[in-house]
Amino acid sequence: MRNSFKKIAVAAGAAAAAVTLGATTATAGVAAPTWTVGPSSPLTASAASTGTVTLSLNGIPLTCTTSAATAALKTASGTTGVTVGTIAPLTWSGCTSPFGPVTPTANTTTPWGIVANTYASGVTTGYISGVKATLSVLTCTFTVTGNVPATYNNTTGQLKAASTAASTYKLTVATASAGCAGIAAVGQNPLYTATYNVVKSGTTTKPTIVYTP
Amino acid sequence: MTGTRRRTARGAAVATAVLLGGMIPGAQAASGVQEIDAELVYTCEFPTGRQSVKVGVSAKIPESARAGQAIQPEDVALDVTLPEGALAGPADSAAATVSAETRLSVDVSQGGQQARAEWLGTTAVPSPVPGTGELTLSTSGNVPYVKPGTSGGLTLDAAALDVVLDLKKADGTPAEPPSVSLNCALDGDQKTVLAAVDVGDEGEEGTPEPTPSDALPGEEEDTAGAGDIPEIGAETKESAATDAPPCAGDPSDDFALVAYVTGYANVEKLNGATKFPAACTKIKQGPSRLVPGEDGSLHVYQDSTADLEYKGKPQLPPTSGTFLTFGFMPTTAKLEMTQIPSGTAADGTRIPNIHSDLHIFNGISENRTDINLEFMLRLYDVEVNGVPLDVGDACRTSRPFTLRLLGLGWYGREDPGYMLVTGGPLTGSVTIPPFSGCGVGEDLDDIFTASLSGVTNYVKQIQGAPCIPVNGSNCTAENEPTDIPKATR
Repeated sequence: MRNSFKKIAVAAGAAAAAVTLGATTATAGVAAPTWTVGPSSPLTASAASTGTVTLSLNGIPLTCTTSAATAALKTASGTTGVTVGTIAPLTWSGCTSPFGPVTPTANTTTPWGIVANTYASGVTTGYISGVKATLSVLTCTFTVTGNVPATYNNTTGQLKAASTAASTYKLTVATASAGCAGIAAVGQNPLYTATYNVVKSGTTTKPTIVYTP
Repeated sequence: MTGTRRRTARGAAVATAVLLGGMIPGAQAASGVQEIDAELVYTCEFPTGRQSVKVGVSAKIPESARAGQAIQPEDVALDVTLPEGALAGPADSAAATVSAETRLSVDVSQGGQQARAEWLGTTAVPSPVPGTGELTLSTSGNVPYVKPGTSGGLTLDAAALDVVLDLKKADGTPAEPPSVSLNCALDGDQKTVLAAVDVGDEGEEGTPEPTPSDALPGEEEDTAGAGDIPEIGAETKESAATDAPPCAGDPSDDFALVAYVTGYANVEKLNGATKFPAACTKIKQGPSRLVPGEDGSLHVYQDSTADLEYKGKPQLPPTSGTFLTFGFMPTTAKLEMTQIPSGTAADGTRIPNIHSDLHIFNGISENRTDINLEFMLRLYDVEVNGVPLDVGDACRTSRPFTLRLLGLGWYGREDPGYMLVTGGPLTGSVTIPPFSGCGVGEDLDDIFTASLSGVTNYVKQIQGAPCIPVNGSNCTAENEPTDIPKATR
């Protein structure tokens, strides 16, 4: 629906579209575009990874057997770039790399965001924002900050986070200790891949996120 | 067998006499010498399969002796005849010359008791590999004496033979394979007796010899008499958890790691192993180099530097070893392994002695870590048969030798093996060079050379997880490693 609207808006010209939208809202009393969280809002959700969680940098893989997170989801207004939830805390465990075990630590002092951009057939596409994590292996310690592309599927209840080299939303190495020479350098972009099963905390109910234009 | 080798053997005999003169009151030269000249047939495991090898054994040995008197075989030589084509390899890397080390096991029996001596020999110069026909390699060397504790007939029988062949191409570079180890078993239905020695009573002037159990309280009564060869290090009271030396890392050093290492080193000549207590290793981690492979894989190379530290010196903590000189004489010594630190490159950086290759492909990796450490070995506080033997302060190997260790690890498999960050088993080998500087007023070099040198010895070390002071990983509050490994064989 929103895509159709955007096409119209592009065709008609941005200024005209704004006028039209404002006129429609004002005259017909239609609700503002909304990302609605169900079955209730706000709700607390629990996410547990399924399959291997992978972070790779410069072709060096880091894998974790599990990752878990708690998210606060909440209905929000807007069309795109709308924060529909926050993540805090998030943990990884069973992580190893060709160098040996690695212990990544997520910094969620400022909760990470779940941001919705587009919606189609029960799938919300957006990104996880404000990611901040620290990784150490041997004498190398580096921090990663930024965003990870993500989708949420109402039917499966799965949040898939997956970045590629071409992604708009990227993670970036923000700091790297001297011992990281050759492994990680500031400005490089690690790739993160994980799939989480999400339920309303304490239940087996899969939350839903629905966009209403 | 060459003149040079003969002189060496005589030198050993002289040294032996000197030692015995100080050790055995009343020892006298034996009268009458018999010549050993035996032809034996062995079956050896070559890389290409089993083949028959003829071995000639020659030596001189007294016809008779008294109880408590050392019987010293002299002029011991082996002629090992390899069948045609035994050393054939790929044409472009075929061996042009071959050197050999031999180890003949000799069973010494008397009155139902038995012990085993090892007769070691080496070729004097490399021999050309003939295009056709058999190849005979002549080896010679110093061998331990035999000292019967009681009267009665004593026999020496040939047993198993091990041969290590060192193969070189015409240009002097290692051939492929660079060496071949042969384990050879005596064929049946042949006479294995090398010599029989008549052993009489001690005589009036003789002084009863202390038995090994007298010399080493706590050992089994029949330790030497029954041929139950004591292991090196059996006396060592060792608990890694309590004996680990200080090993603090520098938290201000961005590249510092400290780790404990412990393990065993076999001494093949003595059928024993010596245990080295937990040692402190200070590692300077080097930068990583990422090199994509043509097949889409990725190599991560990392070169680092390891330095041992014990009381401010680059050493392993001293350990006690019990071994046999001359096959029978229980000898204890302190072993001091001092590392020769790797050098410094022109740019002022240390030359690495740890080389890691993480080969990543299809989401897994195979890791190889090669560690090469240069050592000198010094012996001190030596006791032979319980009697202190002053070997001086400079009884050490005549040159540095390399301990080569290999750690293999796998990322993506259940058993990760060895990784620098986790530690794990490191295996390898070491060959101890001849000794020099041993003895005060008398040259004892050959005695220790004969007992310890020249054979490749298996080494297994266990590295603990390193403490990384810069981030506190695996560190105590004092920035020492929390992981103190236990030696395993």
